[in-house]
Amino acid sequence: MRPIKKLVPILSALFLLPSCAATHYSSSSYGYGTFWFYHLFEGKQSILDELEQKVASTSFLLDVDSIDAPNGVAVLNKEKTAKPGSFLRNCLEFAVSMQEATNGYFSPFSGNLTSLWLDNLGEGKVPSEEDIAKEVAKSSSTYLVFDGESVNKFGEGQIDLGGIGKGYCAKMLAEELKEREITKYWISGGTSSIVFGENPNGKDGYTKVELEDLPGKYVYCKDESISTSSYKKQLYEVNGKKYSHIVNPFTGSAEVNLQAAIVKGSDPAVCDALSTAIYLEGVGSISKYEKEFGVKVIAVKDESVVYCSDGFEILG
Amino acid sequence: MASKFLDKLRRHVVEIIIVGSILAASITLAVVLSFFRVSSSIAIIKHHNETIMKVDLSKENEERHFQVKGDFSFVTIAVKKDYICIEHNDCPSQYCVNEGWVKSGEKPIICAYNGISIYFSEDSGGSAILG
Repeated sequence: MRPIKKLVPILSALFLLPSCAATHYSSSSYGYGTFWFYHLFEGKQSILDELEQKVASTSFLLDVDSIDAPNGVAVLNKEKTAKPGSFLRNCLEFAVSMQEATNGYFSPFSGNLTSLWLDNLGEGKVPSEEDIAKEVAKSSSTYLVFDGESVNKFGEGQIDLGGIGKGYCAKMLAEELKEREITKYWISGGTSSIVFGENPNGKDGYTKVELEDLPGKYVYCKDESISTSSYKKQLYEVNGKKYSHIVNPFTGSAEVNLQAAIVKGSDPAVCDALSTAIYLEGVGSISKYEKEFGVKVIAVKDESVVYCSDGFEILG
Repeated sequence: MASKFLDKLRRHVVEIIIVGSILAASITLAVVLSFFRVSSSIAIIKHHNETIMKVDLSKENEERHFQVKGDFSFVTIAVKKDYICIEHNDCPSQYCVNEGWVKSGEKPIICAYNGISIYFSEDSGGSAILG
């Protein structure tokens, strides 16, 4: 009987051996105008369902066309006042703080300006100078006042949180997973905003991230996030000039300068906002953001690296 | 010396058989589980959050083509053994079409314009795409 007792720990370990085959749950869902991909390397399937639900419900709130979303962005744009829940309120406050931090290069009030460009580019033309000037004036004079539970919009600019929505949502999902003590995962909002925990299927827990703006090149990420603003997937050419979906809120121009601004850091929402600002401001702006937010940046022009922060290693 | 060792073995023969059997069963189960995890070749085609169809690419012995309805137009998808691609799409960027044939288990194909995505149920999650 005694030898059998001694074997109990060994037997228990052997019973657990099959669980060494790595746990991996993956799924995809639609939100924020794109597809989200979820990879959990611990936890359970039902957590993915909850994450998908959160993406869908918050996407509805931020959708500029979803007038049915109670106290969402569409209502705030139309009624100029709303009592948003904590998610949207915090997101709006964050957007305003990033507008200040980027001296206005990230603007949450350029919705109509962006629509003006996309509508015209879709028809193969550029908007008139007069129309652009009108929309720039509207967006630059718009601001929010947070008053108790209410948020009030002053000015004619339309709120559009497309520049930070995915990053802000990715941050919320990462916080949700942290509360559940889940550290092994990565979640991608489209292909422009990704948040990483540890990846047991990657090298030393890192996830390999292929950079579509630099074919064949990649970086590694772990316990951090990465965002890009790039024209690669939304490039328009009119009369030999290249335009993108990202519009300069000061000049009203959608003409391209950088091809992509890739930002890596601890906060996916900050990375998302900074990638837009750097894309518009150019390489000269990067060092101040590196210092202020502790981010690392790759700037790409014509498929070549024109800036790469110290310690941000590009492989391949 | 050798006879002492054999004596010990004889005394613990039951334990050795039990441990050996469990070890063999566990290893077999682990191998089988991991085999099924990485060898799945199911491509899941979605329109927004709705799964339109699942295709087992390992069973597609001949190339075939079919259409799924997107937000603005029909999207033509082609499949052949272990591969899938978006063959035709009216989206402005044509990025999804330019992806070409994608091998099962590799990166997803996304057309945000038409709300169509193709991903693999058992993509290992080893790498991500930023772009």
